[in-house]
Amino acid sequence: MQLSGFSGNHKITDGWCKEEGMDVSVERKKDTVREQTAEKKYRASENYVYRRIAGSGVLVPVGNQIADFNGYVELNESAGFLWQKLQNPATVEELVQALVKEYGIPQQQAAEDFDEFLQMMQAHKMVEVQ
Amino acid sequence: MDCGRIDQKLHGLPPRYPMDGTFELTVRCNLHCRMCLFRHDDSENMEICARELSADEWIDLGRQAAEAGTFSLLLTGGEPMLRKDFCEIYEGIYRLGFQLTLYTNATLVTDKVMNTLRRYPPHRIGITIYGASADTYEKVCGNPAGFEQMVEGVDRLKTLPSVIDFRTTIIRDNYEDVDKIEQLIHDRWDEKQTLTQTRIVTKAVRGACADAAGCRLSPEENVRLAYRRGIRLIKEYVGSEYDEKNLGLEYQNSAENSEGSDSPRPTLLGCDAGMSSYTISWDGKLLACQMLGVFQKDVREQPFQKAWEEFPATVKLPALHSDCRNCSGREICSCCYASRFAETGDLGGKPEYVCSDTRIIQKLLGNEER
Repeated sequence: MQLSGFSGNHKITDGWCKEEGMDVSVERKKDTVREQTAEKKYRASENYVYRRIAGSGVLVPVGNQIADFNGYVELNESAGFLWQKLQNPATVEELVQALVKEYGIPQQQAAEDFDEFLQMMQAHKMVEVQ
Repeated sequence: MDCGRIDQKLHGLPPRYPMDGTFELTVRCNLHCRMCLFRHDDSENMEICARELSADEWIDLGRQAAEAGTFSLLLTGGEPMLRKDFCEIYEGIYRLGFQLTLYTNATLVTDKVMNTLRRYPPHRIGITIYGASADTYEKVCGNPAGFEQMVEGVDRLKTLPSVIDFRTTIIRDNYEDVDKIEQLIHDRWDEKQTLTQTRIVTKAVRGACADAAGCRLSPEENVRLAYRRGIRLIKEYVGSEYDEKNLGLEYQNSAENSEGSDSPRPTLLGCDAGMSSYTISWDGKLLACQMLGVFQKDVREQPFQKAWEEFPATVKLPALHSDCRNCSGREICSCCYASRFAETGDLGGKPEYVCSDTRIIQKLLGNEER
C-alpha cells in the first residue's frame, strides 16, 4: 500500500493549473500525528469535491479554496478509500483500523501510512478537525 | 441502424472518455459582433428562447456529465450571463465539482451575478475584449456602452480568486486597437497578463448570422499581425536580442496529415473532438465541437452516456479536396473538418482563406520547399 502516492496535478487531461504543483513534501515530525491527536475527530473538507475521472480518484477544490490552490489532486486507491471514510467524522484510531481491515496490513504500517496522509491533508486544508 | 458497422467502427477506437465538456448555455448575446461564430439573428430570439434547455435540464445534464467522468467544463455562449436563470444554472453545475471555466464578454456582471460568483468562483474565467474604446465597441459590437460595461465588469471579476484570461478577435474594425487592448489590460488589471488572439476568423457556423468574410482581415494582414505579436511574445520570453530569422515551423501530426507517421493517433475528426471533448449545444445536441453541428446526438431524447457512446457512428467523413491531399503546406495548415465546413459548406472542401494563410506563412518563413 502506498498512501504517499497521493500527489498533485497529475496530468489527467492537458490540464491547466494556476499552480504548477502541490508541495507534498511535508516534513515528518518526530511524534506521529496519531499520538498527538488520538481523541480528535477528522472530517473531509467541504472545500474539495471527490470525483472519479477515467478510473482515477480526483479531488477538485471549490469555493474560495481556489485562492490557495487552483488545481486538482489525484488520489491513489487507498487515499481515495480514506477520503470516503472521512465523509463522516472519525478518529485516527478508527481510520487506521479501517485501513488494517480493508487492506490486511500490519497495524504499525497502517498507522505510519496514515500519519503521512493526514499531515498532507492538514497541510492543504483538506480535512477539518471536529 | 447498422449495428455491425457501428461495432466495427467502435472496435477500432481507443477508449473514449468525455473528460472535457462545453455547455453552450445560449447563442443569444447582448453584443452584436460582426464576426461572431454563434449568434443568430435577433429575429430568431423568441424561437431560440423557447427551444433552449431549461435550468433544470442543464443541471441534470451536468449531473450526467459528472457521472460519465467529465472533469473540465466550460460554460459559454453567446453570452451566458444573458440568461435570466444563469445564476441558478451556474450554482447547480458548480456544486458537482467540475474544474470550471466561464467565458464571458464581462458586460453583464451584475450584483446578483457577483454574489453567486463570490460564493462559487470559477477556476478560470475567459474574458473577451473587442476594443479599447466605446467607438471601437460600437464598430465591432454595435454597442458603444459595451466598452464601459466591460471595464466595470472586469474590475469586478478581478476581485475573484479565479484565474483570468483575456481574449480577443481582431477584424478590420478593431485592427488598430489590438495593442491598445493589451495596454489597457496591463495598465488597469495586470501588467503580466497576455492577450490571446483568435488565430483565424472563421465564417459563422450552425445557423449564426455574422458576415465574417465581409469584415475579417485579409490573409496577408492577418498573418502579419499574428507574426508581429508572436515575435514580440518570443522576445518578451527570451530577450530582445532574439533573431527572428531563426524561427522555424512546428509541424503538426493530426489524423488528416499523419500519412507516414509511425504511430498515428486514432481520432474521429483529427483532434480530441468526440474522443475526449464534446459540446452540448443550447438546444440539447451532443456535438463533437462547438464549431461543427453536422454530427449530433440529441441528449433530450436519450441519456448523455448513451449519446456519447453512440456518437462515433454518426461521423461520416468525405475525402478531402484533391488540392488539400497533395498540398505542400498541409502539415502547417490550421484547418480542420469544422473550419472546412464553415468556410465551404463541405466537410472535405478547400477553404481558400486558410489556404492563403498557409501559403503566406510558408513564404514568410522560407518553408515553401518543405
